Parts: sequence; C-alpha cells; structure tokens
Amino acid sequence: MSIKHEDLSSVFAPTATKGEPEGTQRGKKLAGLLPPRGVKSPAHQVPETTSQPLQPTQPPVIEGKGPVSSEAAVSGIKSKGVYLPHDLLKVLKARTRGEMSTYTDMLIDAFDAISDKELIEKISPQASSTGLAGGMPRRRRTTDSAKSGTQIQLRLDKAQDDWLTAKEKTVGAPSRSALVTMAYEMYFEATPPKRRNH
Amino acid sequence: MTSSFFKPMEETQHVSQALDRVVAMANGKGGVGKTTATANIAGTAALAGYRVLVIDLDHQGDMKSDLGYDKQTGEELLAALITGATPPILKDVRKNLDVIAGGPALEDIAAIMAVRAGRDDSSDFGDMLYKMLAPIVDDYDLILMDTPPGDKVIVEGALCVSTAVIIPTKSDDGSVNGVERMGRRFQAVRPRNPVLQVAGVLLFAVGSRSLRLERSVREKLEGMLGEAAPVFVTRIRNLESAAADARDRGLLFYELEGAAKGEKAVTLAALKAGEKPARGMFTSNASAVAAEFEELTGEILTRLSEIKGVQ
Repeated sequence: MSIKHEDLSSVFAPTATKGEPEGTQRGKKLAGLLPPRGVKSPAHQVPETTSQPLQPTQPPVIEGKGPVSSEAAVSGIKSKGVYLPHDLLKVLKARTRGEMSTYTDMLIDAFDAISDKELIEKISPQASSTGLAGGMPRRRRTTDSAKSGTQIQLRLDKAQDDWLTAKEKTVGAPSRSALVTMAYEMYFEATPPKRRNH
Repeated sequence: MTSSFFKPMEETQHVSQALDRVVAMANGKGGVGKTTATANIAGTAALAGYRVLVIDLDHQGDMKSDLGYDKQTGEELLAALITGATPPILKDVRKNLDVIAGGPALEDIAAIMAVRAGRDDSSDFGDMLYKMLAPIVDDYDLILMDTPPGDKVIVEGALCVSTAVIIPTKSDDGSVNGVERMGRRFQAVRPRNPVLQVAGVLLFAVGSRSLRLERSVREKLEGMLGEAAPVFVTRIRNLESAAADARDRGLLFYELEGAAKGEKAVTLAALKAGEKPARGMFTSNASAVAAEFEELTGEILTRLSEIKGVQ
C-alpha cells in the first residue's frame, strides 16, 4: 500500500513578485556554468530602454573621479551601511531583482541620471527656488536625516567611498543615508524599470 | 510608572533578505545525505574554479568528517551570530573552498531566540544570519548552507537568507515525508523571502540497480513538485564502502577516486612480492560516485544560473 503524499507544486511555485588529485579532471567541464559574481552573462544584460534617462546638466563636481563601476573595482571593496526608508527599500529590492543589478550598481546608475542641481533642489532648496528675483528667501528646509530605516550594505571601493563623501558636501546632504535615499527616489521617479530580456 | 510599558508592541521589522547565490541544503528528516552532498557539491564546484563557502549550521558539526578538518565547538560562530562580528572562516580547506564550521554551541540558538522573542526590538535568526553574511557574500561565487533536520529556528532562518534550497532525499517514505515537511517550512518563510525557490530535489543513496524503485520515487516526487521544481536527473548511488572511506579519511569522492587507485596499485605490488597487503580502504573504486557528483554539480550550477537573484 502506498502512502499518499501532499501536492507541493503550489507551495514551491515561484512567486509573482518574484588540491586536485593526480590523474583526475573532475570539475573541469563545470567552468562557466555559473557566471562569475558581479559579471553579468549576456543573457542577463539589460536591454536599452526607449526612454532616455535624465542627463546631468552640470559637469561632475570632482573632476576625474566619477563613480566607478563595482565590476571594475575588484580589490579593496568594503561594505558601507546606509539606512533607507522601508518603502523605498521595497522598491529598490524589486528593481535590483527585476534588472539583475546590485544596490551599488543601481546607485551608480542613479547618480549618472541625476544632476547636482537637481539633488541640491531636492535636498536643500534655497532662495532662488521662489523664482522671483530679489524675492524674500525661503526658509531652508533640509531633508530629514533622522528618519527610521533599514540598513543596506553598499559594496564600495575607496574611490567610490570618497566620491560619495565629496558628493554629500557638494549638495549639502545632512548624511550619506539622506543623499543615497534622495538619489534612489529621484532615479526611480524619473526612470521606469528596465525589462530583462531573459 | 511609565505608560510606555503599556504601549502596544510594534511589529518587528526584519532586515533579512535573500542573498545572491546563497543556497540552503535542507530536509525535514535527518540522515538523507545533506552534509555529504553539501561537502561534495561544494568541493566539486571549488575544483572547477568557483569560490565556494560552506556554512555548517548543524550542531553535530559532521562537515568536519566530510572535509577533513579538526573538530570545532561552534562557539565562535555563535558569538558572530549574536554580536554581528566577522564570522570565523576556515580558509582554504580546499583550493577555492572556505568553511564556517558548526559545532555543539549551535544547540543554544533555539533557546537564545526564545529569550529574545520577548523583546520588541528582537531580530530573529534569519536577521542574525543576514547581518553576519551580508558583508562577505560578494567574496564567493556560491555559498552552501548545511542545515540540521529538526531545528525549525535554524532551518527557517537559513531559508530567509537563501535564494534557493536543495532538498536531498533517500527513497524511503520517511525521507519523502521530510520533503513534505520542507514544504511547510518553505510556506512559513515565503512571506519573508518571496525570492526563495526550490533549486531541485536530489535523490541520494539510491542503489544503482534499483531502477524500478528509483523510477517510482522519482514519479512520486515529480507528482508532489509539479512544475515548481525539478527532481535532479543525476542521483547519487548508494555506496556504503566509499562513504565510510571518505568520512574516515576526510576525503571528498573525487579525492577518494585518486586515493583508491593509488591504494590498488600498492596492494597489487604487495601481493606480487608475496606479502600480506595492509588493511586498506573498503572501496576499490570511487569513480562512479565521483562522476555522479560532477554531473549533479553541473546540473545544480545550471539550475542556479536560471534562478532569479543568482547573477
């Protein structure tokens, strides 16, 4: 008599959200089956979207020190924690998974798409934002740096870390978390999710 | 008296999430080959050049026998989990293969979690594991976690941070029932980790001549899994003598393959010289099981490359 087992197909279904011994050659044929970490296989390349991302309207503040691709920076990489609001983190997780990207690479994409002027406008609006020459300066409203959030780890090399520190000062961000939060938010508002051709 | 005592307890916000290329090996039943499969899949992948980390979350710490390192207490791992400190990594246990070793101290995890559960800022084992692993995960192409069968806290915590789970099973009904229990664990974790997928079910220790039995179990498992996940085509044969030799010597099967060949030559030379050969290994040939682990590892790597989140 055979025992009737449970049907697990619905339980396990993917969710919509989404020193070598001599003479042996074992393992040789397995090379390349799993792409090296951080290097996207051709099947995972993100196709170009038809919508154009926002182009920076100002030259980079730190000459010759743009964000470095995390793929290129293979040595000296350290985890740097930043805090993101819970809702933003949910969007970030969905975008990175959908686009087969990483938090760090998506941050690089974000800074590529946003100008310093736009960041300054959002983070520390100044008198000029009244639009009236000679008008009464508005009270400076800074981005709240004390919002509760969840920590994520950005994998940054020294050049990337220094670049972010300099960017904080340039745009007047009260903290690195505030800067990264604003960059992600502006990027997600301006850029629709890329679809993977997979 | 402060009124804060009477504030409703806020729902704990968990920090854990699926970490890319982290794969749990789990079954609700013990003795189905989880540890041996973990060690040999990891070893074969490392041999192919992938940087592999094995994490032994089992308080029995039997991974030491499969990989041949000294017995560990698990105390350093427990401390790293609790404090978020850098985990104790045994480097280069094999070329490209590092290990975070388990041990008896891990038995305390369930009790620690029970105490912490009463605090409104408490994080669970999944969060602790996530905090420990997140800083090192990018150092490896593949991370395999061996889990204990009966420890709900550890198994569900491991599933919280995994992209995929591999479920080894033997052919008996008790082991297949263990696959069912995994279904319940999977369901419990899914809201926390919607990315988690079953990479596949592995048939372990099935006799090479038990073709009808293998076919029957395979059909049973495929019926249970439906389209959700495959039963891996490669099954690992039952070879007690090779398994005993491997654990006795701390060798992986592909290493045992070479060692058995060497020993065979020594035995023949002794016999030719009219001498009594020394008591050697129980197995004379581990090539078949070594080849099966190579095929299986290939299947697993291919399957993982298809799973979302394994970049």
